[in-house]
Amino acid sequence: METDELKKIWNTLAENKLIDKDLAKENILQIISKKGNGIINKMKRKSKIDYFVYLSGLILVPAVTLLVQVNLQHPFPSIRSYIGLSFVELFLIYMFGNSVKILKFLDYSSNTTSIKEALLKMRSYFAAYLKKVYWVSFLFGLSFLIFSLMHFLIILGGINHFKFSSTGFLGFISYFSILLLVLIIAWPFILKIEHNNMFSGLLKDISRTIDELNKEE
Amino acid sequence: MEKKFTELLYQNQGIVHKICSLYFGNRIEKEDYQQELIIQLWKAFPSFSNQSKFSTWMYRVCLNAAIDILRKEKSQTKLVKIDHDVTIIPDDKDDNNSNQEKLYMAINRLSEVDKAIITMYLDEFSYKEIAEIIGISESNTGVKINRIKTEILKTFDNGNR
Repeated sequence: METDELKKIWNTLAENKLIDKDLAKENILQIISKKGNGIINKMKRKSKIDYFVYLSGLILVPAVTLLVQVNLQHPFPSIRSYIGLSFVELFLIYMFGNSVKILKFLDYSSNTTSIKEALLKMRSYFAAYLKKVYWVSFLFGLSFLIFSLMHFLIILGGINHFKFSSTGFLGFISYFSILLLVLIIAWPFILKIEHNNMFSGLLKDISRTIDELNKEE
Repeated sequence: MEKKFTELLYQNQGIVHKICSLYFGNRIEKEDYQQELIIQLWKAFPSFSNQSKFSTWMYRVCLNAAIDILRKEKSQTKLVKIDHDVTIIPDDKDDNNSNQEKLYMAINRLSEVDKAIITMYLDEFSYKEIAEIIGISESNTGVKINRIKTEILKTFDNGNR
């Protein structure tokens, strides 16, 4: 088959199957004035809900805990709930970080350069941005873990009160302190794994396309 | 500015339709994708200078935006179902329809960049224009076009056996 014939088939295909009914000028004007119904805006709306849910949780969990402590004048309604609360808070930090990354990603666009340049820009922008988010969530999570550990060791129990054999409050403090210490050590690794899972596939995908473009055939 | 943009887009809207059909073929909310491309074009419009043809500039923005949307969807796989198997159902089974379907399927199997290159080539863009939009050399563009054309023609040959 000759190229000209291929182009002829393409033109018929475009006319018959690819080009939908004409967009009226009024519709175009409406789209550019509203801006809200594009697919990216729809994705953003969904991500914004996640963002606000996690942000509210992030603020509410410690606030409610503090309120309960102050009102009941007791460390916690149930000391075991502290573990639950700590994990919930760490989970919220993790999810909030993800929602921020997704929103930032959805906001980014570079459409006026060549395709290759746009991909190169996107890759370097996100590599730098992801590194920043990683360090911020790492420092935030670490501060939270250290604060929890200090709270347990110094304010509630005191280092001298370590009693692994005890089944009561002191025994719990001892084990929980160890758990928090382990988490502090593991935290950067946990974040690194999450960091790689979330966007590394996307960055690899961009790199693969850039390699495809760089390849001289 | 709105008037000028609307007029130019109205005259060249086929580009939006074509790119939308090729990159987001049978997505349920096809109109949303169309709208997104138009929004991106509008946002980028201040950068348009009359030095290049509007259709060339439009292709550049629409292709970048389409590739960008595909990437963004990948980050949202939980939220948006991505359907890669794009098919068109011919109205009747004559040869013309069958050739159109073969071409459509062959283009759809290509990578996002190859798809962009061949679409512009079939729309009579020069090698220089394609090279500029993609960001590769003219000679490399020529080689890539030949390779893609061979791939597409193979589909026709296989179909005729």
